[in-house]
Amino acid sequence: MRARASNRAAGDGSAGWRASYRPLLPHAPSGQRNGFGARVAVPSQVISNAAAGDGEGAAARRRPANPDRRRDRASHPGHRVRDHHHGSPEDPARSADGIGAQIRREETRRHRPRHPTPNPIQIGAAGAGVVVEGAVHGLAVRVQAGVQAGRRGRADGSGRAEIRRNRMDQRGVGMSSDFSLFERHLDALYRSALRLTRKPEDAEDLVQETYLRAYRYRNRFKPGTNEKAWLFTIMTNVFRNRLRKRGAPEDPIDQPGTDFSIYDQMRRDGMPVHLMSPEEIIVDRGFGDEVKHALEELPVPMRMVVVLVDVEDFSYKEVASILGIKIGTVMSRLHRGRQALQKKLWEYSGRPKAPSLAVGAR
Amino acid sequence: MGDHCEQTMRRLNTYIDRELSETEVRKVKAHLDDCPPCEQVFDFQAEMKRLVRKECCTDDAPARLRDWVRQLGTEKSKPAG
Repeated sequence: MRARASNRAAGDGSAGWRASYRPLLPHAPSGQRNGFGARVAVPSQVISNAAAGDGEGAAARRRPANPDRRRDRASHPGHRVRDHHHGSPEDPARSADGIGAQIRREETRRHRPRHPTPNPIQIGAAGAGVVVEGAVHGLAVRVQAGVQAGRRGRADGSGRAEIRRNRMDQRGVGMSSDFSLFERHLDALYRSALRLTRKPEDAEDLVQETYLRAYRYRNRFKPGTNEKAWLFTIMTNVFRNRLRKRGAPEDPIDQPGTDFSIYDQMRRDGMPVHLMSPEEIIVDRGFGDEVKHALEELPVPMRMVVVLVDVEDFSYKEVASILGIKIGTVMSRLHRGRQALQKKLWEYSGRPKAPSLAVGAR
Repeated sequence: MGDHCEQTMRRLNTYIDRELSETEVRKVKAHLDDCPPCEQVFDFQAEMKRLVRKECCTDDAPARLRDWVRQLGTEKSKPAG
């Protein structure tokens, strides 16, 4: 009885978090998807999975770990925490503290050496709009504190004591309102992740790692700048690194232009295109998810640009910054991406390619 | 297709993506007002962009992922180093 209670108390710092979390990795056995304790991924596992940047690999590593943990708890019920995977004797606080501390530990233990990954912060710094350039530790917090002071009607930003107090707030409760700035882009990140990964499990996993990194590097985000672009910079980097690590053959960046537009095609086919909307042509005659499917079939470099511009409404400049490419490259990929997209949609709509047949098919 | 049409067509993407300066926008608009065939192409492509957006905005993040992100945000901790 007592053991159980203390176990639960030990987990208090992140109990809610654990409870609501399920392993979001692909191919995880469904049995691991609910419940408490051993059958739910613990934060540091999530983090190390994220660090691995490889869904399958991470899942495979985790699988043998869980039974161990279960056995551990069963055989040492009196111990508060028996998680030898990430706990350590010289780290007594780990059971009670939260996800942030665990992230930091993971970062020192695993991340730094394991990440040749270009730091998202450095990449974003290339362009305007995404301000992530080398903020000195604490600077972002100070700026934020100043902003808060201003909001309270203290135009002068008030004294140092006030700033220090705000800074302290920032370390605790204040952080939640800070992070909510990032939270509001969840749907955007998720739907884009879906287009990139094509699978809901992989998309969730990608979004999770994006938020873990945003959390880890949150001090380097400059308040008042474009947080959506900042998050997308992180996500597209994580995604590209994952592809690279999986050894997937890279999609050709410079595919020859297809030079196709549905409008021209229909004109050539003698169809009254000016009387029809793209929706009538594509969606109303299709099977539902054509646009998504067509988009997902584009080569990754084009797909990223089309998603960022067409779906997420980023400017060319922002996209250039997010992806670390030139604006001219954004424009050419967008152009070719849109043409390729229309070609696929045209094929999906099941219209015969021969003009005479196309007219007859109407 | 006249010179004007060609010049305008080159600005198709930048126009519908609102990447042109005001002066350029005015030029494009002036041509489109005079040239229904070009206007139709522009309308179609703009509509196409709207369609892509509309069709791809239907997937919201699962509730459990939302809860997870919220938990991450409310986690009390010192700023990461």
